[in-house]
Amino acid sequence: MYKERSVGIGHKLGIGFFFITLLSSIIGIVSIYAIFELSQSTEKIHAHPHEISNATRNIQIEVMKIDAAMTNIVNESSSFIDHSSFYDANESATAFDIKVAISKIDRAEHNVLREFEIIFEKYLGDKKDIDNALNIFVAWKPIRDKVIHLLQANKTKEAKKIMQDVGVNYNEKIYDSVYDMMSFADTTAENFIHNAIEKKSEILFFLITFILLVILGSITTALIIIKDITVPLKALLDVTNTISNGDLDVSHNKEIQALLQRDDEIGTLVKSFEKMVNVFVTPYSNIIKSKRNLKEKTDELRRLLDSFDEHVIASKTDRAGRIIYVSKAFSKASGYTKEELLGEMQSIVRHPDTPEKVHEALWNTVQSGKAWHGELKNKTKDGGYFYIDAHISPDINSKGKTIGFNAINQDITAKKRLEELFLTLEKRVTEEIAKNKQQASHMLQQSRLAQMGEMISMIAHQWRQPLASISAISGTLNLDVMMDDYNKEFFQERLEAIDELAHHLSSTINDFRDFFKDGKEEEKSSLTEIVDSSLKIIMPSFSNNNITLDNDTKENVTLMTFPNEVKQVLLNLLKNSEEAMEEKKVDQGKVWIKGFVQDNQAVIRVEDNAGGIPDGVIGKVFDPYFSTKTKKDGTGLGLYMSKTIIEEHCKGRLALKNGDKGAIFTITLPLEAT
Amino acid sequence: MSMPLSQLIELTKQMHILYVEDNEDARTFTLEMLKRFFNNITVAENGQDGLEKFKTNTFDFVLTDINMPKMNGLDMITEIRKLDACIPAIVLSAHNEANYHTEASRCGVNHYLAKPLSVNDLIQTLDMMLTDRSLSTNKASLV
Repeated sequence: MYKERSVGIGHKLGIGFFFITLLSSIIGIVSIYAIFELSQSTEKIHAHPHEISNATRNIQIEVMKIDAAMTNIVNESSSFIDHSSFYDANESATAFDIKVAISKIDRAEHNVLREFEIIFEKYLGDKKDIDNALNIFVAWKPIRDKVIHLLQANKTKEAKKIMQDVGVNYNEKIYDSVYDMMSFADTTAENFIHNAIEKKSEILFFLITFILLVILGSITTALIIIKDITVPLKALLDVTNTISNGDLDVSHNKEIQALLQRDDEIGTLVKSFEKMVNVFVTPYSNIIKSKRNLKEKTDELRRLLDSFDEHVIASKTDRAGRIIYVSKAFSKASGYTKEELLGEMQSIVRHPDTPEKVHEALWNTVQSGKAWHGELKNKTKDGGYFYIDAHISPDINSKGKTIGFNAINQDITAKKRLEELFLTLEKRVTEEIAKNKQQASHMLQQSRLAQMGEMISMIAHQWRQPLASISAISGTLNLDVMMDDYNKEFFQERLEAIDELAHHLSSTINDFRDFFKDGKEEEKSSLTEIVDSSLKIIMPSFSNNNITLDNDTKENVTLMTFPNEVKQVLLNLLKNSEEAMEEKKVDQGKVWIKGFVQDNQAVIRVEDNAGGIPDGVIGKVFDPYFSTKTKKDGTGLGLYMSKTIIEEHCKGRLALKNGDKGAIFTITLPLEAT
Repeated sequence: MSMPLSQLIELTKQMHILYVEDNEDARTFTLEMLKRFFNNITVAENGQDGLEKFKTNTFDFVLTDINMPKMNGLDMITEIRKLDACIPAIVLSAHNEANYHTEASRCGVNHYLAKPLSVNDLIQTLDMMLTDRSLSTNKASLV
């Protein structure tokens, strides 16, 4: 690689154009000059011989006139006819004629002189020739004058002699010199033409040469331009194309290398270009290397942003509060599409429930350049609502001017609903409790009614027999009266029997009535009394149904409880056993009652031989409204209420399990007051 | 009433009746009253017992309770009817509902009396029965 010590392109171009201009100018100037010269020559050519020949001819003419005049006056028989004069050659020369001749000659002389002046002016040859001719002419005058003088003095012979000797000479001399001048003029003219023709060839040659030079120069300059500018530019263009395709390896490009060696403007440009490219090579390579990473990171970011867009309720407004951006989440929450929201005022989602004060506070805060944080209730498109925990801040540009407002919100509708729910919760709980209480008391009432119904039917059952007996006795007595067959003793006996039966009826009533007396307070009760009272009620029915009872209750067990309630429960259990035996058609029904103390608690155990309760059902028997009785007159409240009474009122326990013979119910009661 | 009480009793005294009642206490005092009317009373404690006794005896009519173990009164009457279509049957019941009446008459019960047994009801029923009998061609058992 050799360093081309080249002249700058600009210089080259300058030089080139300068030369072209110069040459063109020269061509122009030369052309002008040539034309001028040629024209002048032509003029001169035209003028000179023509004028000279005119002048000379005129001189000749005038000289001839003079000669003629002279001759005339000298010769009386001169026959020179001049068309231009009125002179008549056949007249002899009188004084008058001489005068006329003199004036003619003067005139002619004047003309000749004038012509000589013209010749002087225009003659291109040696002016001495003219002088010669003039001198000759001038020298003639004295001779002529002498002649005239002689003629005037009538010395015609002497005059004639002089004329013949000298005058003719002069005439000829003038002719010759004039003729010489004319020849010279002619020759000169010819020379001029030659000159012109020569000049013309010269100039033509010169011009052609120069034009060719100019063309050559232009071509050269063009080639210079092509070589020095277009070629490198194309090389640069190729390189930039390569770069744009990602290949930043400029240094290995041969053309560029060549260009770099140059010293001129292109060289500088390419050097600069190479520097610029090198500035980018490293970072660009790094970019290419981490392009994939970037794409991944960008995708990650995009997904994150999409996620935000999807889940974060966000919006932007302009200075006036007009919406310029909403996230997808906002759109979803508000029920409006993005298109419906853009351009609308933020107040489109304002819910009338949110107090005006809140909005005022919000606006004032953000107007003063601060962020506002609070809860807002917003309205959806279909008139519903959603709550947001809003964070609204002013969007301040780099110049410190507020250009809009940004809001990042969290949907707290669920939380709000929960809060509202919570507030009403207490009220609802109270309501529920009241409802439950009502339900419980309703159930209790129903149970009571059911029990009462049972009691009444039990009473009815127990009364039936005594009543039938009373009826039979009274019937018998009545018959005896009707038959008039009195027996005093018989009557008395029977009336006593009625009395006893009535008593029995009454005690039944008492027994049952006691059952319905609910104690308000716990009282000291005897276990045996509780069991016996219940048995008394149920025994008539038991014996009717062939059910035997085995009672093993420990004496002297006292406990603090509600005795009537326990009796009712016990009665309920016994009744259930009786009904079970009836349903399952148990032949020899039997019930075992055992009353005892265990772990400081009173226990009443009721076992029957009715077969027990099926496993699938045993878990539900204490449920309210549950009944296994096929006779659907049972309200099914019995066991549920029994359990409630024992466990909640008496603070005891009521348990059920299946024994080998049948069901075993166990009532457990605390001995001490609760 | 078509005849005086004394006349009625004279007639009924000669009858042989079947009285079926499972309740002992009820039986006691009712029997006492029945004895004023009938001299010959066969007592059965349930439907089964009653049926057996019917097969082995001749009765003028049957007086029975309904709700009894082993065989209730209506079933017993149904069986008796298979053996004797004509014999009068009177039922005593604690229930007094219409459907019982219908069912009872379907079984062939002639009279339905409510418990406790009222002496006047009994007298009226016996009177009706005897009147029917006197009208019927079968007078042999009466005399």
